[in-house]
Amino acid sequence: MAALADGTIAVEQRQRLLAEVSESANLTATLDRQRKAVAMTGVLEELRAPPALQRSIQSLVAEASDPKRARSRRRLLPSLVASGAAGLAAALAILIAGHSPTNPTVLRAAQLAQQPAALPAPAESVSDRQALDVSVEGIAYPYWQGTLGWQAAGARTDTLAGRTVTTVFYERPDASYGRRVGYAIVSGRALPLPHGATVVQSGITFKVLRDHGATVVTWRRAGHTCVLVARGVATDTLVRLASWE
Amino acid sequence: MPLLNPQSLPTHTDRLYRAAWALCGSSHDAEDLVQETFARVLARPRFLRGQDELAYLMRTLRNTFLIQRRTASRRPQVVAVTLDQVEPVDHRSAHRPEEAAQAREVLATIGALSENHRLALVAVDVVGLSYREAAKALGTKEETIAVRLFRARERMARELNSPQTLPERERVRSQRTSVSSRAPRTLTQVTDEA
Repeated sequence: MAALADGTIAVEQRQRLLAEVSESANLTATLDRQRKAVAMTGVLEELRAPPALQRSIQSLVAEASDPKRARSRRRLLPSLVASGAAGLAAALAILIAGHSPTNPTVLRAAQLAQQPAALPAPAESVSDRQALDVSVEGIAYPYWQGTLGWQAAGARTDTLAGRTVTTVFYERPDASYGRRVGYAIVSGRALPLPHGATVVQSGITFKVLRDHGATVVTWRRAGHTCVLVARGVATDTLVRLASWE
Repeated sequence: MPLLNPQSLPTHTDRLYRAAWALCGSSHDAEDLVQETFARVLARPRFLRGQDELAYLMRTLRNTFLIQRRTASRRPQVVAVTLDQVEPVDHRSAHRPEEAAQAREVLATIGALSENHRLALVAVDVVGLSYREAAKALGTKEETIAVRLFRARERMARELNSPQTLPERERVRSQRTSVSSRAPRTLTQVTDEA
Protein backbone atom coordinates (compact mmCIF):
# COMPACT_ATOMS: atom_id res chain seq x y z
CA MET A 1 0.00 0.00 0.00
CA ALA A 2 2.86 2.37 0.83
CA ALA A 3 4.50 1.78 -2.55
CA LEU A 4 1.16 2.16 -4.34
CA ALA A 5 0.63 5.53 -2.66
CA ASP A 6 4.01 6.96 -3.59
CA GLY A 7 4.08 5.44 -7.09
CA THR A 8 7.12 3.24 -6.57
CA ILE A 9 5.21 -0.01 -6.90
CA ALA A 10 6.17 -2.33 -9.76
CA VAL A 11 4.08 -1.71 -12.85
CA GLU A 12 2.86 -5.30 -13.06
CA GLN A 13 1.46 -5.13 -9.53
CA ARG A 14 -0.10 -1.69 -9.78
CA GLN A 15 -3.21 -2.51 -11.81
CA ARG A 16 -4.05 -5.58 -9.77
CA LEU A 17 -3.73 -3.69 -6.50
CA LEU A 18 -5.75 -0.71 -7.73
CA ALA A 19 -8.52 -3.09 -8.72
CA GLU A 20 -8.49 -4.63 -5.23
CA VAL A 21 -8.52 -1.23 -3.57
CA SER A 22 -11.44 -0.01 -5.65
CA GLU A 23 -13.57 -2.88 -4.35
CA SER A 24 -13.07 -1.98 -0.70
CA ALA A 25 -14.10 1.28 0.97
CA ASN A 26 -11.57 0.67 3.76
CA LEU A 27 -8.68 0.15 1.36
CA THR A 28 -9.72 3.19 -0.66
CA ALA A 29 -9.72 5.33 2.49
CA THR A 30 -6.32 3.91 3.47
CA LEU A 31 -4.83 4.68 0.07
CA ASP A 32 -6.22 8.22 0.28
CA ARG A 33 -4.58 8.74 3.68
CA GLN A 34 -1.25 7.40 2.43
CA ARG A 35 -1.36 9.69 -0.61
CA LYS A 36 -2.27 12.66 1.55
CA ALA A 37 0.71 12.03 3.83
CA VAL A 38 3.01 11.82 0.80
CA ALA A 39 1.60 15.10 -0.54
CA MET A 40 1.95 16.85 2.80
CA THR A 41 5.58 15.85 3.13
CA GLY A 42 6.12 17.41 -0.29
CA VAL A 43 5.66 20.92 1.21
CA LEU A 44 9.06 20.46 2.84
CA GLU A 45 10.64 20.79 -0.61
CA GLU A 46 10.33 24.56 -0.10
CA LEU A 47 12.74 24.48 2.84
CA ARG A 48 16.27 25.57 2.01
CA ALA A 49 19.36 25.31 4.17
CA PRO A 50 20.27 28.72 5.60
CA PRO A 51 23.00 30.59 3.67
CA ALA A 52 25.35 30.41 6.69
CA LEU A 53 25.09 26.63 6.74
CA GLN A 54 25.67 26.38 3.00
CA ARG A 55 28.77 28.58 3.25
CA SER A 56 29.99 26.52 6.17
CA ILE A 57 29.62 23.27 4.19
CA GLN A 58 31.44 24.83 1.25
CA SER A 59 34.31 25.69 3.61
CA LEU A 60 34.46 22.09 4.82
CA VAL A 61 34.48 20.80 1.24
CA ALA A 62 37.21 23.25 0.23
CA GLU A 63 39.34 22.15 3.15
CA ALA A 64 38.75 18.45 2.37
CA SER A 65 39.64 19.01 -1.27
CA ASP A 66 42.85 20.90 -0.44
CA PRO A 67 45.68 19.12 -2.31
CA LYS A 68 48.13 19.88 0.55
CA ARG A 69 45.93 17.92 2.95
CA ALA A 70 45.77 14.98 0.53
CA ARG A 71 49.56 15.06 0.03
CA SER A 72 50.25 14.99 3.76
CA ARG A 73 47.91 12.01 4.10
CA ARG A 74 49.67 10.18 1.28
CA ARG A 75 53.10 10.95 2.84
CA LEU A 76 52.08 9.65 6.23
CA LEU A 77 50.47 6.38 5.09
CA PRO A 78 53.48 4.79 3.31
CA SER A 79 55.79 5.71 6.19
CA LEU A 80 53.42 4.04 8.65
CA VAL A 81 53.21 0.87 6.56
CA ALA A 82 56.85 0.50 5.56
CA SER A 83 58.68 1.36 8.72
CA GLY A 84 57.36 -1.38 10.97
CA ALA A 85 56.88 -1.14 14.74
CA ALA A 86 59.60 1.44 15.44
CA GLY A 87 58.44 3.62 12.61
CA LEU A 88 54.84 3.29 13.74
CA ALA A 89 55.72 4.42 17.25
CA ALA A 90 57.65 7.40 15.86
CA ALA A 91 54.82 8.32 13.48
CA LEU A 92 52.28 8.13 16.30
CA ALA A 93 54.49 10.37 18.45
CA ILE A 94 54.52 12.92 15.63
CA LEU A 95 50.74 12.76 15.34
CA ILE A 96 50.25 13.17 19.09
CA ALA A 97 52.75 16.03 19.35
CA GLY A 98 50.93 17.80 16.53
CA HIS A 99 47.84 18.10 18.73
CA SER A 100 47.88 20.80 21.36
CA PRO A 101 47.83 19.41 24.89
CA THR A 102 45.15 22.01 25.79
CA ASN A 103 41.62 21.23 24.69
CA PRO A 104 39.72 24.33 23.59
CA THR A 105 36.78 25.23 25.82
CA VAL A 106 34.00 27.77 25.71
CA LEU A 107 35.42 29.49 28.81
CA ARG A 108 38.83 29.89 27.20
CA ALA A 109 37.17 31.40 24.12
CA ALA A 110 35.17 33.73 26.39
CA GLN A 111 38.37 34.87 28.12
CA LEU A 112 39.94 35.68 24.77
CA ALA A 113 36.80 37.62 23.82
CA GLN A 114 37.37 39.92 26.81
CA GLN A 115 40.82 41.05 25.67
CA PRO A 116 41.29 44.47 24.03
CA ALA A 117 40.50 44.95 20.37
CA ALA A 118 43.52 44.62 18.08
CA LEU A 119 41.85 45.33 14.73
CA PRO A 120 39.57 48.09 13.45
CA ALA A 121 35.81 47.67 13.47
CA PRO A 122 34.51 45.67 10.50
CA ALA A 123 32.18 47.50 8.13
CA GLU A 124 28.61 46.65 7.29
CA SER A 125 28.37 43.98 4.60
CA VAL A 126 27.47 45.28 1.14
CA SER A 127 25.65 42.08 0.15
CA ASP A 128 23.80 41.48 3.42
CA ARG A 129 22.51 44.51 5.33
CA GLN A 130 21.97 42.44 8.43
CA ALA A 131 25.57 41.33 8.69
CA LEU A 132 29.07 42.72 9.04
CA ASP A 133 31.72 42.19 6.42
CA VAL A 134 33.52 39.52 8.41
CA SER A 135 32.76 35.85 8.86
CA VAL A 136 34.18 32.62 10.19
CA GLU A 137 33.81 29.64 7.85
CA GLY A 138 30.73 31.16 6.28
CA ILE A 139 29.13 32.41 9.49
CA ALA A 140 28.79 36.17 9.47
CA TYR A 141 28.67 38.53 12.43
CA PRO A 142 25.36 40.38 12.82
CA TYR A 143 24.86 44.08 12.13
CA TRP A 144 23.11 45.39 15.22
CA GLN A 145 23.51 49.14 14.84
CA GLY A 146 20.34 49.89 12.90
CA THR A 147 17.70 48.14 15.02
CA LEU A 148 19.42 47.40 18.31
CA GLY A 149 21.84 50.30 18.71
CA TRP A 150 25.00 48.22 19.20
CA GLN A 151 27.73 49.23 16.77
CA ALA A 152 30.86 47.32 15.83
CA ALA A 153 33.83 48.85 17.64
CA GLY A 154 36.77 46.57 16.93
CA ALA A 155 37.92 43.01 16.46
CA ARG A 156 40.67 40.54 17.28
CA THR A 157 41.70 37.06 16.30
CA ASP A 158 43.37 34.51 18.55
CA THR A 159 44.48 30.94 18.27
CA LEU A 160 43.17 28.41 20.75
CA ALA A 161 44.48 24.86 20.53
CA GLY A 162 44.80 25.07 16.77
CA ARG A 163 41.44 26.79 16.31
CA THR A 164 40.89 30.41 15.33
CA VAL A 165 38.76 32.49 17.68
CA THR A 166 37.56 35.64 15.95
CA THR A 167 35.94 38.26 18.16
CA VAL A 168 34.02 41.32 17.09
CA PHE A 169 33.36 43.93 19.78
CA TYR A 170 30.15 45.90 19.93
CA GLU A 171 29.47 49.05 21.96
CA ARG A 172 26.47 51.18 22.87
CA PRO A 173 27.54 54.79 22.24
CA ASP A 174 24.52 56.08 24.19
CA ALA A 175 25.46 54.30 27.43
CA SER A 176 26.47 56.52 30.33
CA TYR A 177 29.63 54.48 30.70
CA GLY A 178 31.28 52.05 28.35
CA ARG A 179 29.36 48.86 27.66
CA ARG A 180 31.17 46.44 25.45
CA VAL A 181 30.10 43.01 24.23
CA GLY A 182 32.51 40.52 22.71
CA TYR A 183 31.03 38.18 20.08
CA ALA A 184 33.41 35.29 19.38
CA ILE A 185 33.04 32.51 16.82
CA VAL A 186 35.34 29.50 17.07
CA SER A 187 36.50 27.81 13.88
CA GLY A 188 36.02 24.09 13.37
CA ARG A 189 33.49 21.80 14.97
CA ALA A 190 31.43 22.95 17.91
CA LEU A 191 33.02 22.77 21.34
CA PRO A 192 31.39 20.78 24.12
CA LEU A 193 28.69 22.77 25.87
CA PRO A 194 29.72 23.86 29.37
CA HIS A 195 27.66 23.30 32.49
CA GLY A 196 25.43 26.26 33.17
CA ALA A 197 21.86 27.47 33.12
CA THR A 198 19.93 26.61 29.98
CA VAL A 199 17.79 29.21 28.22
CA VAL A 200 15.59 28.47 25.25
CA GLN A 201 14.73 31.47 23.09
CA SER A 202 13.30 31.36 19.58
CA GLY A 203 14.02 27.65 19.40
CA ILE A 204 17.72 28.13 20.15
CA THR A 205 19.34 26.59 23.21
CA PHE A 206 21.72 28.93 25.05
CA LYS A 207 23.99 28.12 27.95
CA VAL A 208 24.50 30.95 30.43
CA LEU A 209 27.35 31.04 32.91
CA ARG A 210 29.45 33.44 34.98
CA ASP A 211 33.20 33.79 34.76
CA HIS A 212 34.91 36.14 37.24
CA GLY A 213 32.16 38.74 37.03
CA ALA A 214 31.54 38.45 33.29
CA THR A 215 28.36 36.93 31.88
CA VAL A 216 28.95 34.35 29.16
CA VAL A 217 26.27 33.15 26.76
CA THR A 218 27.12 30.36 24.34
CA TRP A 219 25.15 28.66 21.58
CA ARG A 220 25.71 27.05 18.16
CA ARG A 221 25.25 28.40 14.66
CA ALA A 222 25.62 26.01 11.73
CA GLY A 223 27.58 23.63 13.94
CA HIS A 224 30.00 26.30 15.24
CA THR A 225 30.45 27.56 18.77
CA CYS A 226 29.44 31.19 19.33
CA VAL A 227 30.17 33.07 22.54
CA LEU A 228 28.81 36.40 23.74
CA VAL A 229 30.55 37.84 26.80
CA ALA A 230 30.18 41.13 28.66
CA ARG A 231 30.41 42.81 32.06
CA GLY A 232 27.60 44.98 33.31
CA VAL A 233 25.19 43.91 30.56
CA ALA A 234 22.00 42.12 31.60
CA THR A 235 21.80 38.44 30.73
CA ASP A 236 18.47 38.80 28.94
CA THR A 237 20.00 41.55 26.78
CA LEU A 238 22.81 39.21 25.78
CA VAL A 239 20.40 36.38 24.97
CA ARG A 240 18.23 38.78 22.97
CA LEU A 241 21.30 39.90 21.01
CA ALA A 242 22.43 36.32 20.47
CA SER A 243 19.02 35.20 19.19
CA TRP A 244 18.69 38.12 16.78
CA GLU A 245 18.79 36.99 13.14
CA MET B 1 34.91 0.74 -5.44
CA PRO B 2 34.03 4.39 -6.16
CA LEU B 3 35.36 7.14 -3.91
CA LEU B 4 33.02 9.75 -2.48
CA ASN B 5 33.64 13.05 -4.27
CA PRO B 6 33.67 15.95 -1.76
CA GLN B 7 32.92 18.50 -4.50
CA SER B 8 29.52 17.02 -5.26
CA LEU B 9 28.33 16.85 -1.66
CA PRO B 10 27.04 20.43 -1.26
CA THR B 11 24.28 19.66 -3.79
CA HIS B 12 22.66 17.53 -1.07
CA THR B 13 22.75 20.19 1.66
CA ASP B 14 19.11 21.30 1.28
CA ARG B 15 17.78 17.76 1.35
CA LEU B 16 19.90 16.79 4.31
CA TYR B 17 18.82 19.93 6.16
CA ARG B 18 15.15 19.03 5.68
CA ALA B 19 15.84 15.51 6.90
CA ALA B 20 17.77 16.81 9.90
CA TRP B 21 15.00 19.24 10.83
CA ALA B 22 12.43 16.46 10.58
CA LEU B 23 14.57 14.27 12.86
CA CYS B 24 15.54 16.91 15.44
CA GLY B 25 12.41 19.05 15.46
CA SER B 26 14.38 22.28 15.50
CA SER B 27 16.02 24.28 12.70
CA HIS B 28 19.03 25.16 14.84
CA ASP B 29 19.61 21.58 15.95
CA ALA B 30 19.22 20.62 12.29
CA GLU B 31 22.03 23.01 11.30
CA ASP B 32 24.23 21.50 13.98
CA LEU B 33 23.40 17.96 12.85
CA VAL B 34 24.06 18.68 9.17
CA GLN B 35 27.35 20.42 9.95
CA GLU B 36 28.47 17.50 12.12
CA THR B 37 27.41 14.98 9.45
CA PHE B 38 29.43 16.67 6.73
CA ALA B 39 32.40 17.11 9.08
CA ARG B 40 32.40 13.36 9.76
CA VAL B 41 32.05 12.41 6.10
CA LEU B 42 34.76 14.81 4.97
CA ALA B 43 37.21 13.92 7.76
CA ARG B 44 38.83 11.34 5.48
CA PRO B 45 38.34 9.72 2.04
CA ARG B 46 35.24 7.52 1.86
CA PHE B 47 34.35 4.59 -0.38
CA LEU B 48 30.79 4.09 -1.55
CA ARG B 49 30.16 0.43 -0.95
CA GLY B 50 27.17 -0.31 -3.15
CA GLN B 51 25.27 2.87 -2.33
CA ASP B 52 25.05 6.31 -3.85
CA GLU B 53 26.14 9.57 -2.22
CA LEU B 54 22.74 10.54 -0.89
CA ALA B 55 22.14 7.17 0.73
CA TYR B 56 25.61 7.34 2.27
CA LEU B 57 24.90 10.80 3.66
CA MET B 58 21.53 9.67 5.02
CA ARG B 59 23.21 6.79 6.82
CA THR B 60 25.79 9.12 8.35
CA LEU B 61 23.10 11.64 9.29
CA ARG B 62 21.12 8.97 11.06
CA ASN B 63 24.19 7.63 12.91
CA THR B 64 25.23 11.14 13.94
CA PHE B 65 21.68 11.89 15.11
CA LEU B 66 21.62 8.76 17.28
CA ILE B 67 25.07 9.51 18.74
CA GLN B 68 24.03 13.07 19.61
CA ARG B 69 20.85 11.76 21.22
CA ARG B 70 22.79 9.27 23.34
CA THR B 71 25.31 11.92 24.39
CA ALA B 72 22.58 14.39 25.30
CA SER B 73 20.76 11.79 27.41
CA ARG B 74 23.94 11.21 29.46
CA ARG B 75 24.30 14.89 30.40
CA PRO B 76 23.03 16.08 33.79
CA GLN B 77 19.36 17.08 33.79
CA VAL B 78 18.92 20.80 33.28
CA VAL B 79 15.91 23.04 33.42
CA ALA B 80 14.94 24.66 30.16
CA VAL B 81 13.96 28.23 30.86
CA THR B 82 12.03 30.40 28.47
CA LEU B 83 12.42 34.15 28.28
CA ASP B 84 9.16 36.05 28.48
CA GLN B 85 10.49 38.72 26.18
CA VAL B 86 9.50 40.00 22.78
CA GLU B 87 10.84 37.49 20.31
CA PRO B 88 12.98 38.77 17.46
CA VAL B 89 11.43 38.57 14.00
CA ASP B 90 12.16 35.35 12.13
CA HIS B 91 13.28 36.91 8.84
CA ARG B 92 13.39 33.59 7.04
CA SER B 93 9.66 32.93 7.34
CA ALA B 94 8.56 36.56 6.89
CA HIS B 95 8.34 36.36 3.10
CA ARG B 96 6.11 33.25 2.75
CA PRO B 97 4.30 32.86 6.02
CA GLU B 98 1.68 30.35 4.84
CA GLU B 99 4.20 27.95 3.38
CA ALA B 100 6.33 28.33 6.49
CA ALA B 101 3.34 27.55 8.72
CA GLN B 102 2.48 24.47 6.65
CA ALA B 103 6.06 23.23 6.79
CA ARG B 104 6.14 23.76 10.56
CA GLU B 105 2.96 21.75 10.93
CA VAL B 106 4.34 18.88 8.90
CA LEU B 107 7.65 18.95 10.77
CA ALA B 108 5.85 18.97 14.13
CA THR B 109 3.81 15.96 13.04
CA ILE B 110 6.88 14.07 11.84
CA GLY B 111 8.61 14.96 15.11
CA ALA B 112 5.84 13.28 17.07
CA LEU B 113 6.41 9.92 15.37
CA SER B 114 8.39 7.16 17.06
CA GLU B 115 12.07 7.17 16.16
CA ASN B 116 11.93 4.17 13.80
CA HIS B 117 8.88 5.48 11.98
CA ARG B 118 10.38 8.94 11.76
CA LEU B 119 13.65 7.62 10.30
CA ALA B 120 11.81 5.56 7.67
CA LEU B 121 9.60 8.46 6.64
CA VAL B 122 12.52 10.88 6.53
CA ALA B 123 14.68 8.51 4.47
CA VAL B 124 11.98 7.84 1.83
CA ASP B 125 9.60 10.79 1.75
CA VAL B 126 11.96 13.62 2.77
CA VAL B 127 15.34 12.53 1.43
CA GLY B 128 13.88 10.59 -1.52
CA LEU B 129 15.70 7.26 -1.14
CA SER B 130 14.21 4.10 -2.59
CA TYR B 131 12.98 1.51 -0.11
CA ARG B 132 16.08 -0.55 -0.81
CA GLU B 133 18.44 2.41 -0.29
CA ALA B 134 16.58 3.40 2.86
CA ALA B 135 16.85 -0.15 4.20
CA LYS B 136 20.59 -0.12 3.63
CA ALA B 137 21.05 3.36 5.13
CA LEU B 138 19.04 2.45 8.22
CA GLY B 139 20.42 -1.05 8.64
CA THR B 140 17.16 -2.96 8.22
CA LYS B 141 15.12 -4.90 5.65
CA GLU B 142 13.17 -3.42 2.77
CA GLU B 143 9.93 -4.97 4.08
CA THR B 144 10.51 -3.36 7.48
CA ILE B 145 10.95 0.03 5.81
CA ALA B 146 7.66 -0.44 3.94
CA VAL B 147 5.77 -1.32 7.13
CA ARG B 148 7.29 1.55 9.14
CA LEU B 149 6.63 3.97 6.31
CA PHE B 150 3.02 2.86 6.02
CA ARG B 151 2.45 3.31 9.76
CA ALA B 152 4.23 6.67 9.82
CA ARG B 153 2.07 7.99 7.00
CA GLU B 154 -1.10 6.70 8.65
CA ARG B 155 -0.21 8.52 11.82
CA MET B 156 0.68 11.68 9.90
CA ALA B 157 -2.56 11.68 7.93
CA ARG B 158 -4.63 11.26 11.10
CA GLU B 159 -2.69 13.99 12.95
CA LEU B 160 -2.91 16.48 10.12
CA ASN B 161 -6.64 15.81 9.85
CA SER B 162 -7.23 16.31 13.55
CA PRO B 163 -8.74 19.59 14.81
CA GLN B 164 -5.81 20.03 17.27
CA THR B 165 -4.05 23.28 16.47
CA LEU B 166 -0.37 23.56 15.65
CA PRO B 167 0.55 25.27 18.94
CA GLU B 168 -1.24 22.47 20.80
CA ARG B 169 0.65 19.82 18.82
CA GLU B 170 3.96 21.58 19.47
CA ARG B 171 3.15 21.88 23.15
CA VAL B 172 2.36 18.17 23.40
CA ARG B 173 5.53 17.33 21.51
CA SER B 174 7.73 19.53 23.71
CA GLN B 175 6.23 17.96 26.82
CA ARG B 176 7.14 14.52 25.50
CA THR B 177 10.74 15.53 24.84
CA SER B 178 11.24 17.73 27.92
CA VAL B 179 14.16 16.64 30.06
CA SER B 180 12.75 18.00 33.29
CA SER B 181 9.37 18.06 34.96
CA ARG B 182 10.21 21.18 37.00
CA ALA B 183 8.30 24.34 36.22
CA PRO B 184 10.24 26.86 34.13
CA ARG B 185 11.87 29.66 36.09
CA THR B 186 12.40 33.24 35.01
CA LEU B 187 15.78 34.21 33.68
CA THR B 188 16.47 36.48 36.67
CA GLN B 189 16.17 33.46 38.94
CA VAL B 190 18.58 31.56 36.74
CA THR B 191 21.01 34.47 36.76
CA ASP B 192 21.04 34.58 40.54
CA GLU B 193 22.10 30.96 40.68
CA ALA B 194 24.72 31.17 37.90
